Amino acid sequence: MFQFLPINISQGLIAITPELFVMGLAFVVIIADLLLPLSKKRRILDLAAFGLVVALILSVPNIFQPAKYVFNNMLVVDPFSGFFKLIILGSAIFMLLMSRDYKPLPDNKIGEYSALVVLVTLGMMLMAGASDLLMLFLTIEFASIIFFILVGFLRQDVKSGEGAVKYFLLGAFSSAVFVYGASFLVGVTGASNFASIQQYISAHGVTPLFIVGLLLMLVGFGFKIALVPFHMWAPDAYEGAPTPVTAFLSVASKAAGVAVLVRTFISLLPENANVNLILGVMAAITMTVGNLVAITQNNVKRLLAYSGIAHVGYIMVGFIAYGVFGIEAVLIYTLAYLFTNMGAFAFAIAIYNKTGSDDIRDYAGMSLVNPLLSFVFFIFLISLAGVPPTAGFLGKLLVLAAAIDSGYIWLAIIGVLNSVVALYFYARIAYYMYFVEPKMKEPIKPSGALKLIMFVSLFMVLFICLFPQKIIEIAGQVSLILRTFNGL
Amino acid sequence: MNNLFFYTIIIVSLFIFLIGVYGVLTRRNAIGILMSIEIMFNAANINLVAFNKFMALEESIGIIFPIFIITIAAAETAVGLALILSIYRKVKSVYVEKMDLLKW
Repeated sequence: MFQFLPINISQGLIAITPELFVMGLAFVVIIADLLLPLSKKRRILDLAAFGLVVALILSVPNIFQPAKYVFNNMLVVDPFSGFFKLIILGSAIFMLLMSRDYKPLPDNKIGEYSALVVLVTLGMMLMAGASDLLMLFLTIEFASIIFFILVGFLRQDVKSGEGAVKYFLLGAFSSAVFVYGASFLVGVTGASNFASIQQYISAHGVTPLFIVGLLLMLVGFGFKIALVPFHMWAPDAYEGAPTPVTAFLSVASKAAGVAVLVRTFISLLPENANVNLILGVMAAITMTVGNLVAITQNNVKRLLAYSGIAHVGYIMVGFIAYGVFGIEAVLIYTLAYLFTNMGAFAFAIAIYNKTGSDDIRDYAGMSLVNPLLSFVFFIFLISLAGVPPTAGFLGKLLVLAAAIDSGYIWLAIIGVLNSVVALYFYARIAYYMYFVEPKMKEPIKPSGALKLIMFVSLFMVLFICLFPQKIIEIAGQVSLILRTFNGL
Repeated sequence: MNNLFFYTIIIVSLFIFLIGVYGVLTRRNAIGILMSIEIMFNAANINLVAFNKFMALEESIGIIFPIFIITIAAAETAVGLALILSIYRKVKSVYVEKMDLLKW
């Protein structure tokens, strides 16, 4: 294959086969949109989901391959990026399946919608492997710009437009700060790819200007993953966006942001540099603000937005613990978050299709009319809160253990206190479902796709916690390769 | 590196950046905020070109990077203006304090 090209380019093209496949899929989706009649447009979602399943299978081998740079150090293909590619692709597939039954999406817009979703998936897959400041900037913008459009996709709805404008203004601001910080890194080290910057750092050490640049870049990352104080957009964009987009934004966008954050800091910053205190304080504030504000929320999308902010705080705790163990905890936490959140959002869509409301007070008495569904949702809630025997518990356990292991006892204490607060507002939803007089009379019948998402998620949430050996082993290997590849 | 001219350029770009940040924080008009953000992008461009001129950068990255930044900023502005226009049709205003449906 590709014999007519120079050897390094053809090697690169083979290494990024999943990305190329997803790019081709986006064009196929656009062409399908032109060819299919209006009554069959919803099939495009199935086509896109099927294509992404193939891409998912193509990127599985990435986890077991050794790490290597491709395209003149612009991208890195390693198990770490492979792991995040799986999370991003998995959430994209779930999201497309959820969209099939989401009523507010008009039939004639489905083609554009699916093409944008496939393209944003491509952007985030590249983001997970970016190893050059230029590539980092391009891929972050690639993903962000498409997300601005997706959040404002329901043009007849004022809320959607308002969420999109707020998301856009804050997103553009943070990427301007990000690129200003990156310009200092380029200036100080004289190079833009991570390998050359590493060489410069090991020869000359870290200068204050370098740290300033890196902290400015943290604004850009913090915006992507909704770290306090850069979280202001998250609740508004989440509430305004179509619910499948909200689910996608809360899982894939965050996972990709975590991937670039971890990779940038692991590759550019030697272990002894002293930004960990700043990151630690930010993580503590993120957890606390996310959980405390979530207590007063009544809209389920807004509540999950704030709970997502709190979860990012926990992921940061694992990242601050640095070592092999900390990165491993980050990986497992993100995986658990994927299944838990997707399941919860699938449930929210099923309710929305029935009642047209996102208010948790309308969940009253759900357990009487829909006992099985309510119980499944209850499992997702306790997984979000971190109660055994669910994946959320394993994630929290590993993150806090990693923090204690590397001496951040105060951070672990704040984390434990916060999970008590979190239990309150998740239990509040359960209270409405189980102990309040029912409002609805006839049971909800979710469609096959939504059922599939819920039960796959339920299975994985329980499986990750009950049989964690294999997954922990893989995650440990992934983080070990990431560290040795960056010379730690 | 010990060149007065170089430091002048870096300080000018810092001031441009701060003007942009001030604009984003004080403007109430969405278009005004967008313009301030563009100013911030330009501060980064000036920085990169100055670094390229006065320090030995690998493969003229200081010239290539700004070209990408300018292109991306244009794309971002196009999407942003479209979003602002679509909300203008509903709210009949581009002032951000009028966009108050979603809060807390």
